[in-house]
Amino acid sequence: MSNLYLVATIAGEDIAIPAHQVESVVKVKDVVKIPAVKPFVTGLFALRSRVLTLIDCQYFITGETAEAKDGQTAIVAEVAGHFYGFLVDTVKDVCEAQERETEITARLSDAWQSLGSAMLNVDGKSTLVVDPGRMIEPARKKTG
Amino acid sequence: MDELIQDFISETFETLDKLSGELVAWEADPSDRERLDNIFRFFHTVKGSCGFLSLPRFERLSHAAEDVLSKLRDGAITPGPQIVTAILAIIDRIAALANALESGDAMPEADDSHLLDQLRNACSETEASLDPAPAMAPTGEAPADAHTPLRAVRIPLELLDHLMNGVSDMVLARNEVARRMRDADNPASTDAAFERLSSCIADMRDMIGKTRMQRIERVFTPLPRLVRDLNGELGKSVLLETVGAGTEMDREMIDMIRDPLMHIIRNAIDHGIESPHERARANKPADGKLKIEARQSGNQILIEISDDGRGIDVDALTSRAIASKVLRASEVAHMSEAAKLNLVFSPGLSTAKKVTSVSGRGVGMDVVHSNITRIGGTIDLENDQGAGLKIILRVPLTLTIIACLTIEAGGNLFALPRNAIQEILHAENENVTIESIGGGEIAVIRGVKIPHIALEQVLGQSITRDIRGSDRTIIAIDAGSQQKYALSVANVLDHEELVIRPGAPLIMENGLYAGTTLPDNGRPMLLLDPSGLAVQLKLRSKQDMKASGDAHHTGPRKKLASALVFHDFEGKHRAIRLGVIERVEDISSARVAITAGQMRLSVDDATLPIYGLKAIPENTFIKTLLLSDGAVSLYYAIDEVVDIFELSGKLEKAMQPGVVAGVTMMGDRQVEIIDTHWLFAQYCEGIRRAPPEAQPTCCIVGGDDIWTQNILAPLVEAAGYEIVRGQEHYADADIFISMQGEDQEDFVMPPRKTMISLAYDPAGAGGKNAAIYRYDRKALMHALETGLSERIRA
Repeated sequence: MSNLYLVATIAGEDIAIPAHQVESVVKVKDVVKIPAVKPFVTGLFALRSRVLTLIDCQYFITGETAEAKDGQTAIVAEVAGHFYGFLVDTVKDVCEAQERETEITARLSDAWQSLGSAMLNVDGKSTLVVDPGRMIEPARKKTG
Repeated sequence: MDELIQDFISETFETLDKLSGELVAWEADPSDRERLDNIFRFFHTVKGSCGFLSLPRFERLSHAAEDVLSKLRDGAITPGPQIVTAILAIIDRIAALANALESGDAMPEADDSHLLDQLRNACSETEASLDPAPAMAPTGEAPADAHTPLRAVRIPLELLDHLMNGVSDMVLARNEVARRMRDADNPASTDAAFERLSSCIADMRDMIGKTRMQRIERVFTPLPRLVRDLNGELGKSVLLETVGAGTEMDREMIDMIRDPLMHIIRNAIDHGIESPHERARANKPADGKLKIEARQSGNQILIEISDDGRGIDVDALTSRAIASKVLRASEVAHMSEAAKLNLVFSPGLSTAKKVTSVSGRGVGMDVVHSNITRIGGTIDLENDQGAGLKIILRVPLTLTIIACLTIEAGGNLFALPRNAIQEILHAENENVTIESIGGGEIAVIRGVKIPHIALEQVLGQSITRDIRGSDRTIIAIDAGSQQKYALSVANVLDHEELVIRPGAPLIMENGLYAGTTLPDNGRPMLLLDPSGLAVQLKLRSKQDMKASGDAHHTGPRKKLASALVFHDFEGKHRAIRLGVIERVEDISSARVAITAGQMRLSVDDATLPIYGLKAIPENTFIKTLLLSDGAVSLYYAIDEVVDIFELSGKLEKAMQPGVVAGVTMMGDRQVEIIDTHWLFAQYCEGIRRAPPEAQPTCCIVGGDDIWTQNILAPLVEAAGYEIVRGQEHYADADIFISMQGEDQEDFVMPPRKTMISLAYDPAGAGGKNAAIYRYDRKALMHALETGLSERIRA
């Protein structure tokens, strides 16, 4: 397995997403809102002929919904057979991890706890590894 | 190919064990034709699959076995232990081969021909001297009837999906380019090249779409086995017939209908078709019949499952429904037969007297119903109590393309499947009133009360004052299972066919949406799920039935005819039964002219009468209704279509016969009902049913002047005759018209034909040849009429 990570910012904090989970990074536009769904589901947007569901990542941290701005960056990833766009503040870089992921030693805030799966040393700085699937999965469990 | 072989192997194994048992059982009772048929069928199937999979050894073996079995069936040879042994040996060999095929080992290098010889010897011992087994399988070479190898390759579905996506991308890109090209000023050659590209892409999309199609055979193939097993399990004797296995459907659709179909078949055999004993008492043939027929009808696939069993006992069903509190006894009285029959689809109802392992647990038809409606299909029942039941499934050709209405609510666009929509009404329409009751709302559409809600409310959007506005559109929706409701939306925009994809679970979880779609404008849209919305409205069929029952508490509901209400050029509101309206058509007024004595509209190379115009209109286009009595058509020019309503009120007869039969009330408005009989009677004289070649001919003898050509001829033609002239027609014309005083010397009146003699002035009428004054229209028409009826009698 490659040890490439995509480093992005959610709610002002750097996170790393394993590159193998990322299909592409796109700028979204013409987001269509969906009524009567979870607050973190921003809407739908078209990526070529596919319709993707847009997830507002910062909602998990701030608890406040934010509208998608045209041209905002989204990370496209597949979770359980469906494609999603994960809205982030910015995408910084792709970097190769020098070390393996380690267990999270810090006590995270509840919000981050739900997203982070591990810790990683990126450029000498501890960065939380986020599994995009976690934003989809717990949401599904809660409704069940 | 691997997948197919795998299927084949597992299927073969599954049957082999059983088959040996069957064969042995048959040996004990050689008169058991059915068993023999089953065994035969197995070999036949194996042979078929082998040919397809090019497994020559399997094929040779099964062919030989099949051949012998066929002779056994025909009585050409008599059964004996050697034959059974030989066939069993072949079964063993097939098992060994299948084993080898599965494990990937080399095929056991045994000599198959040895087995075949053994079989042949066994046969020849018992063979009734006549034919020396000419059809026996050749042992050395490949069978003569080997299938031509199919010119096909197997492609992973994933690849096809990618291809489909790719083409969709291309279409979107094309649309984008088209938009840009409209803005830019391009030379014509560029436009032409783009046109070509554009049509290529469209073709390609169609073709890729076709790759998704599969034959319904895939569902039909396992049915004989299912029926056979059920026969055994339930002690029934049912013969299965399948028709239309070649019908093609979207492969996803095929997967979706499989379970409902299996369920219906189980039901039919378990509950529908009686045991042979009962059948004998009911004077039915001992073998029950189950027929499954698939065919394409427009953009739908029709699957009819008919049996000749006992049908549905509607009374038992309703009492069961009352017992299980699905509805109250008082409600039943107001229900139509069809509504009662549809109780079969209510959850928790079963007419089965006892629960069997096969069916009768009360979960069943409701699931079938919801599965079928979920894929945009409908299910209808034709019950003939005591004599059988026919279930008609109508499903769209593809799962992915659904005819939709685009609607707007709360600033969002949504798609709504067309098949759930019953009616679209403007909020200002007089046929609909909205009542509010206990915080809820009811739409009263022509006396029928159904729950009403604004789509914005269902979707939990903030409620603005707009949703009560008069510019709203109300859509009456029938989501099946008698879940009817009225949905108010801001706007109905368009009707289009949309490619629907499943949405992410996060979107689908609220049950309101059925999928996502990407129209050509590139902006994603959600497809609303009509039954999901009904659930959201907490609609239960019970409440709903009550609502509709209230509206008709005068007694069991008759089947009411619907009529189209329009505003015509006489300034009247009139209604005409929907049944006679073929379509509403906008026609160019240039096609309207007064010919042959009446206002006519050119239609291709003929004309049809048009009613309702006083003069040729000044507008370029006129709206018309094309009416048809089945054989003859005519147009009715109208100002505008007002509405469609049910003819439920009393009809007050008109004083005099005429275009208006009477008056009825639509809400509080008087509407004149068109007397279609009168209308057709008036206008169809000129357009006889007779096909052109059988059209009667009228020969005008002499009098080749302006009057006969231009004044008489149209009248005669309008009466249904073809005008002919000249001596060559003197013998064969059906009727003759001559002008008094212009006798033709060479004309000899043929026997038994009618001659109408016309006089130039009233003074000349009568006389020895009973001449008619040329402007005595009534007498002339009568004469022409009589001639015509005489001809028909002849």
